[in-house]
Amino acid sequence: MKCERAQKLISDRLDGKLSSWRQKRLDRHLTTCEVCRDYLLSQEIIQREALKIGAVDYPPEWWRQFEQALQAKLIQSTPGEEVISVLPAGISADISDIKGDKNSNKKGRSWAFKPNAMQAASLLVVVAATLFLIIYIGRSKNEELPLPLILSYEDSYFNLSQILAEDEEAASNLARSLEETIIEETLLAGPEGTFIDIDYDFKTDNYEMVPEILQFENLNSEEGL
Amino acid sequence: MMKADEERELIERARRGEVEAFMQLVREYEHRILQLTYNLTRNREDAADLTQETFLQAFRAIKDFKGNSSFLTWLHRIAVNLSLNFLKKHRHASNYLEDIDGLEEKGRGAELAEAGGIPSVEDSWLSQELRTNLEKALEELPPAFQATFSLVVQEGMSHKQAAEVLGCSENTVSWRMHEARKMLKKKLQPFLSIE
Repeated sequence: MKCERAQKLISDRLDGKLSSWRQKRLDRHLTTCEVCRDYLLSQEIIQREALKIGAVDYPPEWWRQFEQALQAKLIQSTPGEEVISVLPAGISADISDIKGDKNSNKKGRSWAFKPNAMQAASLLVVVAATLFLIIYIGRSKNEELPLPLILSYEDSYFNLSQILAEDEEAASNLARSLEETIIEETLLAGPEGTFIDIDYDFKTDNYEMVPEILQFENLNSEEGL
Repeated sequence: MMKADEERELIERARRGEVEAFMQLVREYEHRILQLTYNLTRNREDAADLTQETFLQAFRAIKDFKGNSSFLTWLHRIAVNLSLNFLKKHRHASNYLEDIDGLEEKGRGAELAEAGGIPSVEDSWLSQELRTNLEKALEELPPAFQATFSLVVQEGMSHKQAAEVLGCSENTVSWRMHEARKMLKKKLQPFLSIE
């Protein structure tokens, strides 16, 4: 196991996210790697200190004033009063319904699209321009990527590795996904299965394959496997 | 600790515009939201403003709360998004320096006592030095990484819960934690080697 991978496992371990068989692999690495042992110790110190700096509180009087001020603002406001611009994806605000409730003398806002002649003409121009761009870019792409290159496994692999080298998050997710797939395959292979520990470095395009005999009875006890 | 049934009833009443019902929810969660916004801003005034804004926004949007996640998770999402927006607009080095100067003036012990934390016997000078620099290093993390670290380490959330709050995958949380830890270690190396 490479140190970068071990340090990722150390991070998961500190968050209580490490499965017991990964823990064993990490422990094996730690027995032989002083750099990662130091890394673990440093991270434990950081974690401990981070917990100490968090605490913040105020006296009851401060909270009373805080609540009074908030309550005054809440009274002036009504649920659904205005568009919530900061809400993350997944928390939709059906403002039209709410505004309809509040301003019962007003008609609810209709979102139906009713273009006038000018808008319709503009829309046509935009659609035509978009279609032109799609066709033009499509052709350009075809020129840049000839069919043999698209169909070539090696070239595709090379392109993928370039993308992954530039996107560390995608690389990390892919590596984890690959690893989990290999584990599943190995489990399906039966008790004689040999696990190949692959440490792949997307930046340098180097990889290391280490055959490792699994303790099958331990794997079976893994939650979710 | 509020029971689930009681909370549901308060949410229903708040949906109908009952401010007092919503204030009961505020009293239940205000400390946790203040803690979160403080962890993200490292400034008491900003944290208090963001906490108030979180509850105001939540009240205005409460009709849209579907109950797919817990009410606290929903509040966390609003608080994190408000804080991240705030950090993008206002973050600059001087904020941090003002805060640190304030802490030094008051003395770290007074600050901890005021915050309810009592320094332990082994709370050595070195440890305090490390902590001061850790605060600075945390503030210098990219906002998304800072928010993730704060939710997982300081709020004690699992990767799954943090992913729910941040609207990303568990793998992304795991990766951000790893990267955040690497960045922190790099910045704190001189202080860690003393330990």
